[in-house]
Amino acid sequence: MGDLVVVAPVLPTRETALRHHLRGLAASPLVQLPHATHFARFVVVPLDGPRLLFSSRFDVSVESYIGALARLPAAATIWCHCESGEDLRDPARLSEYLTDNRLTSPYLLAPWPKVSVAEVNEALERQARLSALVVEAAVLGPIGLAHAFRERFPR
Amino acid sequence: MERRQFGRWGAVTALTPLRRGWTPWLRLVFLFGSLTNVAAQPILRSRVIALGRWTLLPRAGKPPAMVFETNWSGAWENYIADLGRIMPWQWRSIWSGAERFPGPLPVTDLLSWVDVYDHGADHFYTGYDDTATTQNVSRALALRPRLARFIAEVDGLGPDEFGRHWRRFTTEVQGLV
Repeated sequence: MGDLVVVAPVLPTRETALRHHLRGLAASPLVQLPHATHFARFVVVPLDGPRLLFSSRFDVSVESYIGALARLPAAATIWCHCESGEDLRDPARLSEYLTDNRLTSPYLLAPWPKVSVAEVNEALERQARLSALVVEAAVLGPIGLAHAFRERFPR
Repeated sequence: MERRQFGRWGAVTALTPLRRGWTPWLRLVFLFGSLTNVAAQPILRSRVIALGRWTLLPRAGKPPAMVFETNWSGAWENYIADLGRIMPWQWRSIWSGAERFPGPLPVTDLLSWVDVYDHGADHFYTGYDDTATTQNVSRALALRPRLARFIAEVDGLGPDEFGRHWRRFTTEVQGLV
């Protein structure tokens, strides 16, 4: 389980364009990551000038997540609005940039700290399946109910 | 603040400048919080918060600022007001050194203060299913081991015996489905 906070200075001339870009994203670039993300956000905040804050909680190590993030062209498009002497379209440079601008959070509160995104979604799916069967059970006889249960929840 | 609600999830990003000398105390508070969940129990029990993250942001020639990020399910006014009501001393221990902090109570002042310092999110993402809320994720995770036990328990039972176990099981887990 990993957690990442990156705060990077935004080019003053690009603040409005960055906000517009982030707010207009039809699909999240994070969908393309090979690693599951619990919650993530991009937000431009005022701190000695505009800063892009990116934070994320995920199921792999920070190093793996940063590496995967840096390989996304859509992520490079976002961080190219930030101050850097390097070409952030280069995944290796972007990876370094994210690592250099990383901050460690001294306190994190998560109600299910050791559960993966896949486990959350699987638990929700099984819960929904059971809820549906509870409703159907009212019209099923004993044989039908036992059969339906075993079909939906095989051992 | 318009960009605070994303489907079922709320997102606050409250950035507050800290007064000089507050950071060492804050580090102790966060260390305590990292070692034990005692102080966070009231909010964890309420099954509303999905994430809370506190980070110190360095500023040039000034004391750091603190950013508080949180995600939850439901209306933000209720969430912040409940936080203020059920965890007043925890709020004071963290935010008393923050600029213009009015205190957790009355919650109307707290809401106005959060509204001033919150930046919401310009882009929000979650990998959870669209139906997820903090409440139903908590229930689904609590159901998981019970359902696994039940599956093993009824393996090989005939229909009548299965029916008896089913009625008992569904009564036990009715608050989780």
